[in-house]
Amino acid sequence: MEKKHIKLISRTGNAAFDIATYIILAIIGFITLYPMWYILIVSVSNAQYINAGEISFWPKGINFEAYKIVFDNEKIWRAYANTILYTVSGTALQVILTAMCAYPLSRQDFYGKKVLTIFTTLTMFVSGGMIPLYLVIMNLHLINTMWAIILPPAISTYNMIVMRTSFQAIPHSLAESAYLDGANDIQIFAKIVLPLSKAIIATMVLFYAVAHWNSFFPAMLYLNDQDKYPVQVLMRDIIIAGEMTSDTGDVTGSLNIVATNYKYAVIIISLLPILFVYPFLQKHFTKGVLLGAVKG
Amino acid sequence: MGKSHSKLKAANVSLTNTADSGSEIQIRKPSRIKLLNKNKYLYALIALPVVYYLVFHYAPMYGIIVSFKDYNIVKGIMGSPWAGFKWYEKFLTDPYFWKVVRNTFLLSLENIIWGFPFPIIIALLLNEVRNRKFKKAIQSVTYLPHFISTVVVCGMLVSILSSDGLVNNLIRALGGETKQFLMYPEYFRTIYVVSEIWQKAGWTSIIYLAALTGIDASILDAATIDGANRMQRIRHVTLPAITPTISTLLIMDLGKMMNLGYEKVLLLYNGSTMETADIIATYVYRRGILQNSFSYATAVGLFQTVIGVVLLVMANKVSKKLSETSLW
Amino acid sequence: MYKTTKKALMVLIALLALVVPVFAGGASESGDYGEYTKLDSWLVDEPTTVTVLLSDSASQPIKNYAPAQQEIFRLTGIKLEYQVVPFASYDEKKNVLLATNNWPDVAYVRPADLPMYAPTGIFEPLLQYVNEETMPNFYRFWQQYDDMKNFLVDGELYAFPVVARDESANGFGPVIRMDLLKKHNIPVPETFEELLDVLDQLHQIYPDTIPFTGRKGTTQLLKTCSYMLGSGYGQNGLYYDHDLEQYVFGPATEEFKAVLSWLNEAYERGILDPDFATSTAEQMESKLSSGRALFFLDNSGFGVNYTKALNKIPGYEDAYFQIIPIPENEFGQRRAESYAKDLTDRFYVVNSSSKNKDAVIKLIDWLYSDYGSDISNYGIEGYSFEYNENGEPEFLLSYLEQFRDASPSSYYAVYEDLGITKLNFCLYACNTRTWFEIEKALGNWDWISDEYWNIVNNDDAYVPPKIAPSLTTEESERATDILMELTTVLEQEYNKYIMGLEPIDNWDSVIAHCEELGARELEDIYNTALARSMSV
Repeated sequence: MEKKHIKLISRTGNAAFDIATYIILAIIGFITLYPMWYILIVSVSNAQYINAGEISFWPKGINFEAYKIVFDNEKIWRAYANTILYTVSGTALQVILTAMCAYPLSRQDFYGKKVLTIFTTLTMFVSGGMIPLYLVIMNLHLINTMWAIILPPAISTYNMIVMRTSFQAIPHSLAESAYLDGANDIQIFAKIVLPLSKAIIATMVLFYAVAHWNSFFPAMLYLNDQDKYPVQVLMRDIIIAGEMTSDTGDVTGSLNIVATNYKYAVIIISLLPILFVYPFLQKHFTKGVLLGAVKG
Repeated sequence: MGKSHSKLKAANVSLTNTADSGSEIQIRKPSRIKLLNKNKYLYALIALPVVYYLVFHYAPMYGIIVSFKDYNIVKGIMGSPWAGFKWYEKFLTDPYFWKVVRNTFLLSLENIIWGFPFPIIIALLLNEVRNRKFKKAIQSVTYLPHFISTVVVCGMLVSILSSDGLVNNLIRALGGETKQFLMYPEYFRTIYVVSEIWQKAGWTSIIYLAALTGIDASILDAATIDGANRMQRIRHVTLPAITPTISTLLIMDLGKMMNLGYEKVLLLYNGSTMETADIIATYVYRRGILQNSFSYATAVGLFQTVIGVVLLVMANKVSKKLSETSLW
Repeated sequence: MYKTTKKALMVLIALLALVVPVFAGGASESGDYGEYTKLDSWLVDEPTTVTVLLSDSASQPIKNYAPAQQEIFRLTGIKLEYQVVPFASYDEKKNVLLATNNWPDVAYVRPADLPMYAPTGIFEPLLQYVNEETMPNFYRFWQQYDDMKNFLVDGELYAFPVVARDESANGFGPVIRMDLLKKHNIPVPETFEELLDVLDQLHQIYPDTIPFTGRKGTTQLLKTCSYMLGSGYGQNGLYYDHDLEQYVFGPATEEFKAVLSWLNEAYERGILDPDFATSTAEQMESKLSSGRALFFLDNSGFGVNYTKALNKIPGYEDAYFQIIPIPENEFGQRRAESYAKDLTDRFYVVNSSSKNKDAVIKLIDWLYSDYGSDISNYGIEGYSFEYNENGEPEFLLSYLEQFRDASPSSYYAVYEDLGITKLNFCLYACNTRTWFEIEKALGNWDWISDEYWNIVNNDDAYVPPKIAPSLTTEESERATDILMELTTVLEQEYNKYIMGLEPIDNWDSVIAHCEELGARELEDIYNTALARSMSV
C-alpha cells in the first residue's frame, strides 16, 4: 500500500522542486549541526590549538584528557542517576496528566470547555512568583524530595494546548461508533484516541523529557542535599564559570579558571543520553497516515 | 445500570453527532444536570489536572498582592504593610521604562515575523523528502542547537561576530568592509532573531511534523490523481491540515510577546546597543542586582501579564474570524 | 510498532530500577559521624548538629563529613551539616530561603544582604555576645579592627565577618608579557602614558597581536582601571576615594575624563582590543594564553595561568606574564585598590529562630581561635598537618603527595579533600597562606610567582578596600533608584567616548546630567552613612 503511494507521487514529482528541497535542507542541516560538531571537536582538542583559535572543522591534538577528568568526578555520576530518575518519572507523569487534561478540552461537546480552557490558559500569564510557590511546596512537605521536581511542572499549558489541538483533529465519528458499542469516554480516550495519537505523544515525551533533562532551577531551589542534585545543576556551575557570575574580589589568583575543552566535554557528556531519545521516537513522526489504516 | 445507561449514551451520541457535523439546527437545550451527567467521564479525566492547576498555579497567585505591599519577610506576604501603587508608580512614571517596553515589543515582533514561519517551512520541506535516510538525518540534526545552553550559544555568537571572527573574515575575503556587528544598535535585533531561529526552528518543527502525520493519505492521493502538482498539494491539502496547529501556536506566541527572557539579551548587549537591546527583563534584572525587591519585580510581572492577556484575547479573536481556530 | 513501544517501556523501567537504589543510597549515607567519646574540650553537653548554608564553586566542591568536620566534631561535640548551593545559583536560592524564612542555623551572606534583611529580624542580633566572656576570641578581632563598625546596621551587629589569616592580597593590576620587554630591551613603563608607548612599540614589532585585551565588556574595563587612572568606578560608579577619604560617584567627576581619554588613546592607537566592549572571559583567556594578546589590566593573578598555558606551545617556552608596579597617572598619583586583606567580604549570619543559638555562638567563637583556625584550615593534626618548632601548623608532605597532579590544582584538591579554608565554614581563614605552602611543598612554585608576590607586596600603591557602611532601608531604596537611572544613562555613553565618537569635552554635559539625576545626593547618602557608622 505504501509503495504504491510513493510511486504515485514520484511520477508527478517535479525534479526541480526535489533538488531545491534537498539543497535547502542540506544547508539547514549543516548550519544546525556545526555548533554541536564544534563543541565535540573542541572537547577532544588540545588547549593550545583552542586558544590559538585554530579549531574550526577538525580536532587538533586529539586527546581525551577532559573526558577523563569529568569521568573521574563521582559527583557527576550520582547526579546523572538522579537526572535519569527525575526525567523518566517526571515525563511519565507529565504526559499522562497532560493527555488527561487535553482530551476533555478537545471535545466540542464538553460542557465547561470554555471556562476550563481559560482557567488553564490564564496560568501561562499569571504567576504568583517564586516565593509563594516555594511556600506552597514547603507546606506540602515536598522540599528536598523528588516530588518538588516532578510535581510543580506536571502540566505545561503550552504543551497541553498543542496536544489538545492534535486531539481535535481526530474525527468525532470514531467516538460515536464506540458509543454505540457501549464504550464510555475513558475507554474511548484510552482505546481509540491515544493509539491514534502516537505522533503527538511522542512529541510530548520528547518535549517534556528534554525540558526535564535541561532544567536546573527547580532542583537548585527545592533540593537541599547535594546527593539529590541532577546533573544540570553541576553542569551550569562549570559552564557559566567566569561568564555570568559577578566577581566580588573574593577571587584571588586563579579561581574559576575552567578550561574550554573541559567545559565542552561536560556539555557533550551531559547531553549524550538525551540526544539518543529522539532517534528512538523519530519513527512516529516519519510514519504518519495512521487514520487511513484505522478506517480501512 | 447497564441497559438504561447505554440508551442514554446513544441519545447523547446522536446529539453530539449533529452538533459536530456543523449543522446549525437548534436542538432543545439539555438541562445542566444532564450535561454534567453526560460528561461525567470527561470530568473524571480532567479532575486531577484541575487539582494540579489549583495547587501549583492558583494557590500561589495570592503572591501578586506583594506588588501592592512593602514586603517584609518576618511579617510575610499577608502581614506586610500596604504600599498602594508605589511600585507601579515607580516604573510607570519612568520614561525609560516605556522605552524598554517598546524595545521588548519590537524585538518580539521581529522574532515572530521572521521566526514563526521557519519551523513550518522546515516541516513542510521535510515532509516532501522521500529519501528516508536523508529525512531522518536532517531531522535529527536540526533540533541539536536546542540543547546548547544560551551561555554557550552567545559565547559562540560573540566570537563569530568579533573583528577577527568568521563573519568578518568572510567579509574581508570578499573585499568588503569589516564591522563590529555587536556594537551597532541597528543590527541587534537581526542578530537576536537569527540566533533564535537557529536555536529553535528545528525543535519547533517537531510539533508540525507530528501534526502532519495526521493527514489522510487518501486525500493526498486524490489530489495527485486530480493533477495537482507539489506546490498545489502543499497549499491546498497539507497546509490547511496543519492550520489549527499554526494558529494555536501563533496565538500563544503573541500572548507571550512581553515575556522575553533576560539571559540571551544580557549576554549579547552592551552600552552601545542598549538603545534597541534593553528590554523589560534586562531592566528588571539590572535593578535586581542593585537591590532585590520582590514587590517591584512582581509589579512589573503583573504589568506584563495584563499586556499579555490583552494581546492573547485580541489574537484569539482575529484567529477565530480568519481561521475558525480559537483557544477557547 | 507496539513491540518497540513495549521495548522502550521496558528499558525505561529497567533504568528506573537501576537508578532508584542509587538515589536511596545517597540519602542513607548521610548523617555519619560515627562513634564518639566526649572530651573536656566539648562546647556542648550532648552532640549537637549545626546546619550551615554555603556556596561552592566548580574548582572547590564542598562535601559533608570531610576530615576537618570530623575533627571539629571530635573536639567540640558539634556536628556541622553543610547545605551546599552551587556558586552560580547561590544568590537566587539564598534570597528565596531568607525571604521564606526557611533556612539553616547559619548562612553565608554577602554585604548587600545585611541592610536588606537585618531590619526584618530574621538575623540574630549579635552585640549581646560580643564581650570578653562570651566570645573571647571574636572579641580580640572586634577590638583590633575598627572597620568592623561599618558592618553595623542601625547600631547593631548582625553578621560575623571572615577574618583573613596571613593573607597576601593582590588586586587589579597591569600585567604584561615581560619576556618581550626583556627581549627587546624595553624598560618597564612607569607612567600610564609610557605604558601606551610600550604597548605601541610591541604592536609595531608584533603587528598581528592585539596588545591590550579584557573581558566582560566596558564596565569591567572601567572597574579595573578607573581608580589607578585617578578616578574610580567601584562596582557601579560609586567608589571610596582613599585620598579624599569619602565616597565619590566617579563618572560624574572631572577626573573621570582622564580615564576615558586614556582608554580612547589606547583605542585609537590600535592598542586596545577593538572588541573590548563585547569580549567574553573565554575570549580574553584564549587570546592571552595563545600569544595573541600581550597585556591585560584585571585580576593580576590570572597571569600565572596564562603563562602556564603559553609555555606548552612550541616557541613560547620562555614566555611569561608579569605584573608591573602600578604606573603613575596624569595627576602624579600611583594608586590601586587590592582585594580584601584582613577583613573579607564573606559574612555568616545566625538564624534568630535557631534552636541551637548557644552552640552556634560557641562554635563560631571557637573557630575564631588560633586552634580552631588551625583545624579549619589544616585539617587533622598528625594526619594532614603537624606543628613546627614555632608552634605554627604545617602540612605533611606525605599527605600532600597524593594531590601532586590533581585538577584544577593541587591546592584546590587539598582544600576539597580536607574541607578546609575560606570557602568552607571557616571564620579565621587562610587562603593564600595555605595555597603558597602547598604549592611550595609540591614544587609547583616558581620564580615567576615569587617575583609576582614580591612586586605586589612591595608596591605601596595598593590600599585595602574600604568596607561599605550599611544604609538604612530608606537610604538604600533611594540609592537604588538613583543608581538605576545613572547606570542606564551612563552605560550608553562610555563606548562613544572610548571609541572617539564624541569629543571628551562633551563629557561635561554628561556630568551635568548625572548631577540632575542625583549623583551628588547618592554620594551624600553614602558619606552620611559612613560618618554615622564611624561615630558609634
